[in-house]
Amino acid sequence: MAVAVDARGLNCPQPLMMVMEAMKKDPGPLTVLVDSESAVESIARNLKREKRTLDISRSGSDVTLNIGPK
Amino acid sequence: MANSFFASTKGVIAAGLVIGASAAVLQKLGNPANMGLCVACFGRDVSGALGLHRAEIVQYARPEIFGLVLGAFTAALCSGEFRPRIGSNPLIRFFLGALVGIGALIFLGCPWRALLRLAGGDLNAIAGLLGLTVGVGIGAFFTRRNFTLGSSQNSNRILGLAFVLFMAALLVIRIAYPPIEGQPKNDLLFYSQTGPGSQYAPLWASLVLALLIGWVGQRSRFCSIGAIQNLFLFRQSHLLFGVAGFVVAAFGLNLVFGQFHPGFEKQPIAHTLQFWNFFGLVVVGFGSALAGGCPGRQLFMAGEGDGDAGVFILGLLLGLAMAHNWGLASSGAGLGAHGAAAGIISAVLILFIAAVGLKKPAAA
Repeated sequence: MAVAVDARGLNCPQPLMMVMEAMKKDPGPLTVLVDSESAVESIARNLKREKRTLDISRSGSDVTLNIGPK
Repeated sequence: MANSFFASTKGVIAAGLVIGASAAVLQKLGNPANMGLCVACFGRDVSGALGLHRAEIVQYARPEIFGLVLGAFTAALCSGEFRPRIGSNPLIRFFLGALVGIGALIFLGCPWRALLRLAGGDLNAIAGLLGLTVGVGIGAFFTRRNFTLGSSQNSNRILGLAFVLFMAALLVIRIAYPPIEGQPKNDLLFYSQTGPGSQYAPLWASLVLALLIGWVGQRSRFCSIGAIQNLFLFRQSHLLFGVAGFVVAAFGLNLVFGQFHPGFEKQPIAHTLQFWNFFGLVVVGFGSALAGGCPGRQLFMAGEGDGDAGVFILGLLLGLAMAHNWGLASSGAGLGAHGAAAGIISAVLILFIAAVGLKKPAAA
């Protein structure tokens, strides 16, 4: 799956902002790349409210978030 | 990697309680009134101790500043989150730090101290906290329109230790060069003989509590700016619970210690010019929001290896020093000679940064 949002290296709250905007545009699945645990946590926290699934995989400092469809 | 407790709402509340309680205890142990912990005030004292400004009443190499970074560094290292990175427009972050410092000294405190002043009964803090909210709100307006300072890149793991080692070096100097009774300066460091700079908790108490605060701050992502910002942008109150914990703990212990004195007049290290209390923290809220965190959070992030946050802190130290050199800082008597002009110029400059930092549409 292609990465739709690459928020690596961006400070708070930009990663979450980008994810929320992407989810607003498209209710389908979304792949997000981030590199800070605080971004992972804040995105996970908001996804709980959105009732979307989240699958996290790590490789080095990169964290790939596979977000399920609405 | 597992951070389930501190990532939870209970966790951030616990962190807020620890930080707020530590601040009240530090005041009880000797730190200035309603200033158990203040990144702006203590940064200013550090600048003074290094001789970057000559306001004789505010010179002391506060171990809290160094300990916050070192505690966050230790936590980041233990959790595998220490990751050196830099390059998200460090120069602009340097100036944002300086402007935030100037704004903070117009109000007389960073956002944490605004909360501590409130928890100590200083009602002038209310105007400041309203200003902080407005400032963060303006920042959120620009964030929503894709303001960005750009991406940072991972950097060399050893060179990425630079800021942490700098803080450690200043701490070693503070320990190795203690104050000499009755002397305003030892070989290296200035020490205030009177005023807020002469009021401090014992070195080891300051250091141990600061390490603890740095630890829980890093784990929980505690941030006063983020608390307000997330409410505006995402209707999310997670961090705000942490801030509530901070205020509750400080307030409770202030009552126990007899440190609660409600009122507007004659509050310690505070003035009653409500417009400027408000405006000073508009500058702080706006500038910090653009930089991605309050001054305290910048210290935590610097400990995680975020070089851009370290640069923000260096800018903050310079801004705080210049605020005293140029008469921009307020005092209990009111505004500094050029405080009003400095506040307005700072706000205009941050607005300029925000406006030109809006992301341009991607080139085709």
